[in-house]
Amino acid sequence: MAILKTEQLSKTYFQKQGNLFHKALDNFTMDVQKGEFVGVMGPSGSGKTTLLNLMATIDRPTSGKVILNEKNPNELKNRDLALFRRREIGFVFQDFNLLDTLTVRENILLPLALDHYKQQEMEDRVNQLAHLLSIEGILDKRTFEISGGQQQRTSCARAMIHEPSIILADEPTGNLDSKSAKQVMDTFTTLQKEKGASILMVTHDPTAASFCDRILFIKDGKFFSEVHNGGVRQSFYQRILDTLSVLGGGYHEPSTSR
Amino acid sequence: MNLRHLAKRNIQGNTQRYLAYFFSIVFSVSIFFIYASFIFHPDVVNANISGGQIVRVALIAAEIVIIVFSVFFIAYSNAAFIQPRKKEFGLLTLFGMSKSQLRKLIYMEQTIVSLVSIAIGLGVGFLFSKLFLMIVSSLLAVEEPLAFVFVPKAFVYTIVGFFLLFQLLSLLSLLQIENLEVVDLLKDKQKPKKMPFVSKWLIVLSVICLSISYYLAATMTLNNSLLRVLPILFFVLIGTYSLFSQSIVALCRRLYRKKKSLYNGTNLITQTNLIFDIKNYSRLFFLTSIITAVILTAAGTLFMFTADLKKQGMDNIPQAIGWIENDASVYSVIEPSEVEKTLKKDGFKVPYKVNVTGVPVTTMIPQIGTGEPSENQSLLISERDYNKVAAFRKLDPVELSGDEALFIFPYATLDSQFVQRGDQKELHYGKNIIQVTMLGQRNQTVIAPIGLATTLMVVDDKLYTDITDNVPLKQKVRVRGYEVKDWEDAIEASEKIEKIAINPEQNKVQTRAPIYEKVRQGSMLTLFIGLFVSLLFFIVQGSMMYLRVFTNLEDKKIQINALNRMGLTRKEIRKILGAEIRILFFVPFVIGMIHAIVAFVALSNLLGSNLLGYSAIVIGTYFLLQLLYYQVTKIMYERAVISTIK
Repeated sequence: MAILKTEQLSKTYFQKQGNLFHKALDNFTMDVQKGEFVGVMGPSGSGKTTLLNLMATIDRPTSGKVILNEKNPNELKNRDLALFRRREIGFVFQDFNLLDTLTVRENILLPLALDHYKQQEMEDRVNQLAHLLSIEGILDKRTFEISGGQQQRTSCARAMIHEPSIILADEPTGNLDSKSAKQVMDTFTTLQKEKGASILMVTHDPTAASFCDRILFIKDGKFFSEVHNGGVRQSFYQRILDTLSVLGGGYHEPSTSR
Repeated sequence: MNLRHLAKRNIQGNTQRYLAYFFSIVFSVSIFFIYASFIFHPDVVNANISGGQIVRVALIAAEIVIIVFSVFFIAYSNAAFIQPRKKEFGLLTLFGMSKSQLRKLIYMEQTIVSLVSIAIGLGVGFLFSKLFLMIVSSLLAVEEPLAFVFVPKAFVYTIVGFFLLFQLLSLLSLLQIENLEVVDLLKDKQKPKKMPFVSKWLIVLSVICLSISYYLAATMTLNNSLLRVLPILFFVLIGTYSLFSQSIVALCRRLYRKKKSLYNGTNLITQTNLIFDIKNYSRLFFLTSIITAVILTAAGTLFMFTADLKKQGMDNIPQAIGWIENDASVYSVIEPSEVEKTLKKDGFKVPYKVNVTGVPVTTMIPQIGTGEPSENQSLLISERDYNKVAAFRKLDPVELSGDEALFIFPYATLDSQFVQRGDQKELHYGKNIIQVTMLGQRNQTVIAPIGLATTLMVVDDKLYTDITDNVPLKQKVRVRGYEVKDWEDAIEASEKIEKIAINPEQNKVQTRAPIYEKVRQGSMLTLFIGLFVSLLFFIVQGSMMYLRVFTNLEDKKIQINALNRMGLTRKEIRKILGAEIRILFFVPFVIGMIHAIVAFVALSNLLGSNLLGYSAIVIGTYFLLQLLYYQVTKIMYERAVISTIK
């Protein structure tokens, strides 16, 4: 069953004055099955961030639609849209987006607190998830006391705590060293295997991408090709590199998404 | 593009942040200019108008207050502007801008802002100075209102004064970035916020200090007021400072520990934001709550004093017209028929008249201040006469018997006690000595307290007859009085009567209306001048909040953007922003208000009247103004933050 689908999704940016326009996304169709871990790769300016923003419902498509958990968020009004985002989607960002006024524990349970869960349930869920991701030791630390990898794992926990339909990850390893990046990718895999999480990740990093079940390549706003993980990570990694070299340069530049 | 362009661009980019500061400076420049144009007005300088000199002195005092306050505010603001821009300065340095260029840039920015605000302030001031002159003229009741003239001196003083002030403070603010390394500048924001320090003993200290000051204020009397003002101020300042740096922090920590309410919706964000900003806030809270207390107390005092004047007039001058005849057998000062004729001609009704005779006696009573016994002259009057007038003046009657006597001291606001209940006193009249037992003393006016009748000695009717029966009328003293309905309007009638009276030493006739009018004019003027200064203080304290709010703008944008992506609704975002500024604007208000209420209670006690109704008006008005400022800030802030989210 597809938990997330895009149908003929297009996004065109127009200049405020003049007739110049830019097609960031062009008839893009894809899906993510329930419990699947999908990666999206492509060079800079290929439309990755636009795609993610559309799926994250913080931007509206010019045409086509996004179906998440059999609902079309674009039919929702502002307030319901925010609530939809809060309940159906979990986010992991490149720059972590943790609130530095909160402890790790509070950061993780923030989505639950916003929906007025019972205190006991919040605590239970945080403890359980922290145990699963082995971050119990830092629960009462503040964000500036922990490393980047720990911060990103915290934000993974936050994205999962309310058991959303899908987790959207935007360059989750972009700000991390390779050791931390590996830990974060392990965290995603744990979430997928243990909690049945469906994950869509945009990334530049072939190593990170090799943790996925499937990689979609995108170029100039259009679908380019697809690579499946055959079960052996090393060969999957090699095929990703091959595709990237076919795709052409530019993918090593840092992402403009924030 | 050169430095000047860059400076201009920076100001344009930071307009939102500069707005409240700019507004405050414009206001203070224009008030300063308006006052200066009165001070240097040719008619005032040449003493062409009556009362002008007094107003001039008051305005000069107000100017000094404005300048001192401006220094403080501008210095505070300059520091607040530089703080959030450290990263920007770090970047500029990184790109190769030298320290001296950076200093030049900051200096230019501040100079441009100061020049523009001085210019606009002068313009606004010039526009409104005509109105100000008109109002002051009418308050001074001068026949020809002060002409609206171009006063070059006022321009010179305002421009030069404020320009020098700004220059000096700009140079001072440059020291702030003097010794910083580029790395420090760039990293400034990433420094972690520490949990503030709390000590139980400091909390106790704040409670003790505030209690002491409140107790001292509430039990203050006119006699000990001067002695107590400084200790009260001392304890209030220390108490308020530790209240904000400690008690509020402790309170927040308690809130933080209550996970149930903390983990409920947006509370988690608002409460933790508050806790980690409280250290930054505490000094601001302290300053603004003290400013609030000062404004409320000063404006309230002026307002209450003005509103209470009529009662003070009635209390201190017992009848609208009163005079004394040192020889009771004739009317040598003025014939009562003349008084009645004059009052009748001007259409005034007389609710009651006073006609009391008495015998001047001397007693020994302690002197004010030293307490040494000294001879005091009082007028001996009978219980019946006293009670008759007291009934008209709605005062309690006295009941005396045997050799009992009551001492009447005419100044109700002074609580000096000269005689105690049970004192034995000798009253000397000529060679006669009368022994009396004192029933006590009352501080009130009954009949016109002039000359020999300033203090009174009331005795039992029988004793009075015994003493005075064989005193010839010639040696008695007569006090006359006419109460007048609508006496406030009887200024001209009172002046006519004073003119008719044969009163070469000006010490035998007392009229209420002219004195009242003079005092009323004076206090209206003070109120009027004080109002602007209070308004300036108010705007400045609001601007300090505004500045604080916008200092954190960049951090706040990042936080709100993150929350928005996590699915916070607009309503919840507004709630978070609103809660944050609400605390900023209303916590100091509440503390300042409590301080002011204590001051009002003390003042009520001093003046001997209940003024809490008036104080409610003052506090209510202030609250509405603060609410307005809060709303404006909230709208600006919401717009600035929400505009950046997708």
